[in-house]
Amino acid sequence: MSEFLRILGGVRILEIAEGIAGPVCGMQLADLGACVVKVEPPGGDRARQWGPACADGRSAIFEHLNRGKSSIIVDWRSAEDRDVLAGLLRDADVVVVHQDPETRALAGMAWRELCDANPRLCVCEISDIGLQGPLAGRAGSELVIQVLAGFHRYAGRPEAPCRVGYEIASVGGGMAAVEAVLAMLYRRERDGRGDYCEISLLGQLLSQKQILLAAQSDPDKWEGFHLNGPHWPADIGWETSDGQVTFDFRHGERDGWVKFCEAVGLGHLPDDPEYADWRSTIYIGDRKASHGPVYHAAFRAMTSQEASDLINGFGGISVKFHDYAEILAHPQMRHLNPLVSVEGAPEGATRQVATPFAFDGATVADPRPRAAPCPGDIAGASWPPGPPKGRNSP
Amino acid sequence: MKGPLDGVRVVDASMGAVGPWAGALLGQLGADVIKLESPQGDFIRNVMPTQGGLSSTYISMNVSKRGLVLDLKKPDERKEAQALIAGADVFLENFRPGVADRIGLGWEELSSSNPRLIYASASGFGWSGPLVTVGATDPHIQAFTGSTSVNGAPGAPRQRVRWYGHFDVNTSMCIVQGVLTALIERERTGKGRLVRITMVEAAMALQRVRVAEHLAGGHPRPMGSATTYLAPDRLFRALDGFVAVSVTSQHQWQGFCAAIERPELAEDPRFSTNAERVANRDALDALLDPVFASRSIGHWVRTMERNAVPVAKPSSFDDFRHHSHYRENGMLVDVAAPTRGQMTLSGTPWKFARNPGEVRRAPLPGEHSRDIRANGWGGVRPVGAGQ
Repeated sequence: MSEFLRILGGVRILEIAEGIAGPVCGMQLADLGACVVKVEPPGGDRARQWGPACADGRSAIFEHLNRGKSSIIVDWRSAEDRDVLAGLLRDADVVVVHQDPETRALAGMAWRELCDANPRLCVCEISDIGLQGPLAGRAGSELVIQVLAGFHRYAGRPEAPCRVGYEIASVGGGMAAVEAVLAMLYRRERDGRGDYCEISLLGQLLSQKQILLAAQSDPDKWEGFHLNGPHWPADIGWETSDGQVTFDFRHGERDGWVKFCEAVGLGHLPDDPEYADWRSTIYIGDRKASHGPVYHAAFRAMTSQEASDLINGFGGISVKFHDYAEILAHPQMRHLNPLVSVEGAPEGATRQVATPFAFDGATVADPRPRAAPCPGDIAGASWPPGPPKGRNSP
Repeated sequence: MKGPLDGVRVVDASMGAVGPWAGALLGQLGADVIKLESPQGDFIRNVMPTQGGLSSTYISMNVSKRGLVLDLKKPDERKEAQALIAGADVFLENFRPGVADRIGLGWEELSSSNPRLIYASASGFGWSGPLVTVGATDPHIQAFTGSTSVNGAPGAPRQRVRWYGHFDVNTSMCIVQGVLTALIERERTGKGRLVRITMVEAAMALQRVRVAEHLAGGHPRPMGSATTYLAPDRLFRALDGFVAVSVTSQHQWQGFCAAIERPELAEDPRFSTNAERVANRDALDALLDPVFASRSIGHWVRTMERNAVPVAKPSSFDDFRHHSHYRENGMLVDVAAPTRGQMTLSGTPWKFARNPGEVRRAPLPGEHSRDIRANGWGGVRPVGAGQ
């Protein structure tokens, strides 16, 4: 195994957060070698109660989002606990904080002002829907933030809107927080000073929506994809005998499309003027809806594998609409590193999604991270002996 | 409005959305980012819709950059590009495998002349394996990575999120994480890195909660507007349309029961904890559906807000484009389009107090070619080891 660089070795991070966004941030920073102490309320992070449970009853979601950390319980009502936290804060490099409005009020901490008292400190405060403006400080949720950013319009039907089925607001917010913390740490390396950063889950979700915001802004005349999405049927690709596949040939790859048509008994299409703009009949949007059904019988006569092999063999792009079992078993995944093995994790959480970037020739993320902590596995006002600064060989 | 990456120089030779948005994020963080295109240009220039004839996707994915066009097939112009990259901190590319080496912009060649260079390379399916020759764009990554198996109405066929490149921009976020990590390491070692990111792994990271459930033996599936681990947490049909309501804590459950004027529900053992409510989801929904159907969206928004329960009326671009909350938080900004008029775009996702960064308008393709070719990095302060 290559050496583990532990780039954030020696960096002390307090994570004061429950749920998903803050913990995703802390987990990714722990993956990079930081010493992360998770501050939990007396009842523990609420995600500890979220199913499904691992073999020993622990939450698989919590286990995943909190690997590699230590935990301390802090009751904001207790002066003693506040002193313990103040002790940890004195020697912290980074604070990642995401509190619901009640906890925020109870804690009464001016997170931004901590940076005045400790100029090297980097504070990343996550809010749900922003700390300014008429809705300042309101509680949100993954769903509420998705609909405030208009994401209910892109799955399901107008009469039965759906959310995006994974946590684009919360996990995305954690990923934006990782960017913020790393950027502040980099700046501190250069000028010795920390910073305060606020990230709202709503604001960063709109940042993820940049392509659609621009498309809807003031476009030249156009009624097609990006704009008509909310009004069109579900995008289910092409149904085969055993599932669904994608089907595409890029612009400039007409020859491949012609060969495909010939191979499936649609050799007349390339001469049909209605199919002169052939790609719009297989790509997304209006003409796929009106002109795409001509291909349906051919797809239904093939398995997904046969269809994809045929299309990709002619230089096109086709993959199956997988579920998670299918993608993790796909031979392509042996060439990637989507999962990491977690030491000491309960059965059901021993394999988890890895940090999503890699260095060539060296291991940038912990190859054997520790399991998530028990509630309050450390106590007292001193930092646990963190990993050393610099590189380690696991 | 300098950002934390003030002084960092980036050459962004990527195309489409994945690489360009990473360059745009680095630009919003304060880096000096040069978008390098061939005379034929980034293919995304032609993707509809357009504003003033230039793709809105091109414009939006290339904010906070300068534009440079060089013909890398001409030896002189290739040397110009290499000279620029020799003075850069970061290089971004998402060429198909083998192309960068062929046109003199491979990792080996560039890092030998600039050992401090951070070379970020993005790919769809990776650099080896059965799909290495298959192109990847967002619709295919959505299908491949399992996301369609959890989208849509219960029991409906697997479906993609319609026509929105979210695994593109999510991959961009992973590129930025990798680049920043390499920049921090370089402060210690003085050496650059080859950083690799695939859309597949980035998409798995965005879906990490669903994947965790799957790996623990759960069965993630389409749940409409609901989710696996919370209840109530879905869209309800009110008298005049849908309203989103979520209960994420016990405190909020008390508030929710008060808001619907059913305080006895808070004591009902079937619903007393989130775990119970999730287990008895159907019974809960059967109880709540007629309650919500009896009053207006406005009623539920006011009442839930009064009880500190997360609530929202679903909003579209037209609803929130001029909304003071979005504006006062800098979530939306009006930026000049390089072609005509203004565009409403997202603000920077991070609000730094000391080093704010900013969204600057995208360049026209090659808009700064003359200046960059005459002055190189120009008056931009270098980030040197001895600084």
